[in-house]
Amino acid sequence: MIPYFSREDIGPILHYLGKVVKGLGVLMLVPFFIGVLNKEWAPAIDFLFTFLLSLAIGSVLLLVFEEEKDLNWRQGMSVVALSWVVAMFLGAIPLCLSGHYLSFLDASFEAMSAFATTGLTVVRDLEHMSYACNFWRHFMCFIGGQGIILVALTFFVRGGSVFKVYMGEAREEKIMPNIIQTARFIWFVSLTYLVIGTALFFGINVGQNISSGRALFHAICLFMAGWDTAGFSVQSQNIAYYHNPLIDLVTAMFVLLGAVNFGVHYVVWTGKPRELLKNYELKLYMTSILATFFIVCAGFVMYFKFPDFISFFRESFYQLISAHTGVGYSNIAVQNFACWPTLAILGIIIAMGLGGSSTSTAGGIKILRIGILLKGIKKELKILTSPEATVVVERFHHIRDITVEDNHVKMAAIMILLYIALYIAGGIIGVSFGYPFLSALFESVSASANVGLSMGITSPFMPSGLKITYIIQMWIGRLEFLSVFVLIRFLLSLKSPE
Amino acid sequence: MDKIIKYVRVIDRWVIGVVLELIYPLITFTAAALVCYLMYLTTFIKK
Amino acid sequence: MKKTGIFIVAIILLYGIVFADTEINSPDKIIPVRVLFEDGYRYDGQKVTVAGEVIGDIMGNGEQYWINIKDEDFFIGIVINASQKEIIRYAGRYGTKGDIVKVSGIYRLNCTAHFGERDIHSEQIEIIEGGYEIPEDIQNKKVIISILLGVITLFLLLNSQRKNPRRDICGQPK
Repeated sequence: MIPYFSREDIGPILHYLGKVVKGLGVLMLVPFFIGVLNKEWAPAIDFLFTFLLSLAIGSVLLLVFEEEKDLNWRQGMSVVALSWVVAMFLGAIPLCLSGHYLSFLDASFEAMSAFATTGLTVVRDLEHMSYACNFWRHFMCFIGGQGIILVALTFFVRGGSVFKVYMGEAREEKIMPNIIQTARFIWFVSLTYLVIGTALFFGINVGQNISSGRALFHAICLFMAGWDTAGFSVQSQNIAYYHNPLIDLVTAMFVLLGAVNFGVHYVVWTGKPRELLKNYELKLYMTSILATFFIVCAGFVMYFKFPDFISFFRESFYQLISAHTGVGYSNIAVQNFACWPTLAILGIIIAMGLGGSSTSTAGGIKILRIGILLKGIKKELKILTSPEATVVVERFHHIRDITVEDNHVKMAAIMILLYIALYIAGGIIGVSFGYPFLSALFESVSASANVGLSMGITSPFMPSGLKITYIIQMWIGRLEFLSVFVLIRFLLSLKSPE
Repeated sequence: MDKIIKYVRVIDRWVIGVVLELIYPLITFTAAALVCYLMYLTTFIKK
Repeated sequence: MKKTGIFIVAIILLYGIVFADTEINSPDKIIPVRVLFEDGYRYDGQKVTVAGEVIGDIMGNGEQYWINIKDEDFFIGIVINASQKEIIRYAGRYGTKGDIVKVSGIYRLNCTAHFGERDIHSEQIEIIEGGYEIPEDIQNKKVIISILLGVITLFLLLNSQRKNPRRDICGQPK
């Protein structure tokens, strides 16, 4: 049972929120300098304005709530959930000022979509957006994928509080004994692949005669949105813009690696490469990819429309891998999904719902939970079919050998049920706004599992109610319920403070 | 000298790890391509 | 008998009226790109003419290049050759309005020559409206507000720095 909050909790929560706001403000300097370098003065002023505003708000919060205390668990959780909302509003300001969004709500939708690494977009005329603003869209994906708080607080907070917020951002495993080391390692993995990925994309783009400046811009943005499984792209056509199978291949590689548990990266990089073959979650993940891909293929076999094998494989597998890793890159136009057979779309919805590995940048239910539930079912079946006194033990290998306990199974089952409830709730709201069931469910799963594929519902012209629904779904889905529940409890207890 | 050898070992493991991880998706893609090709062949049987 | 005759003639006329419009598919008439998506199967493998703004980059090397054109909010990739590439001067991006081109060529839903891309192989391309550079619109209002905000922020920052001195790892003021 979580203890009730009191008004004394407000001070520490808002104090740390002030630090987060300041941290986010400092990050705005990156797009500001990109704007200045490219002589894009108008967006540079927008970013300068937001930078100053964030610093001002942050300073006011720190002035009013000046006492610095270590956060307790529930305060930490509330800070996380609140920070994502505040980050959404701050991130939306320069987007809204750019004039590429119809309203502040649209800009907020885009900011939450980026921070939650979803990739659903309501931007208009992306082709004529400034480098600074476009970079900010992708940079938000990178910040959100690493964990807003982790990024913002790495520079401002020391000590035990970081661990509480780390847990709140859906990273329940500590890879290393020390949280700071874990955070550093996550940065190390991401930066290693940032260098490799950017170099590869840059090489491919330059090979296609794109000018080197733009090639570098495309490469960094592609990597940031891909690695953190967000799925934004520099151009409206997403990956279809490049008309290049090599880009498809390399993006698919990095999104798959981005959806792998950071713990596995750690073990493999420190001299135990056999983990790649032994890890239960990874094995299950590959099986799940092949199984859902089989469903998609089966859908197409019934209504085959492709002239050859390559077209078939490229169109079906790319969307599948994009859905399963939760990135939401697409090498076809949104309208193409309308020609997809229902069974294939169902395959994609299942893949999106399942999501990537735990402690990765992917969203969705997460494969480890499915694995634990499967093991739990197996264990129960064994108990039912064995003589009474038999002791049944189920094990799996995930970095170390783990024995399945009832508590694990219970937690996994609760999370899976919560996710399914979130998917269906969004689907029902979509239907009540008058959309067909299949596309409403597709869009709802895509938003809550932070994928970003769309069947065409998401556009600047969709009803505001649905935009707000998806914003909430993306928020809850990214934070994996817990911190949001704690925040709701906090807000409720403010009304009745006994 | 010992320190250098230690660093070389760490970097060595790191490079091997990264290369193996980069190969890993390619194996998955190949497996998926095989599944896809088998399904592709069944479309001919239907006709 | 006479009635049957009139009935048949009427049916033929009706058929003519209903389908006359859809059967004519003049390759010179500009088709919105939206139609190529909504009614893709009808145009698959046929010669079509589309028009739109060239956006982004011209990609490719040797003989074949890709451009993307934008018509309303719909996009399509177009394969052009090296000599056709030369006529394009502006591609749309920040601060630049791209050339609006009219392209005729064969449309394919899944082009077998390009790994299943949805594309148009251009046979003829011409600029119908030249691109141009758009000057930046810097609003003085924003500059003034930013400067004012800068002063306020500086004041707040100095104050909060004085009230919250930097602390070391143990939480003690340095």
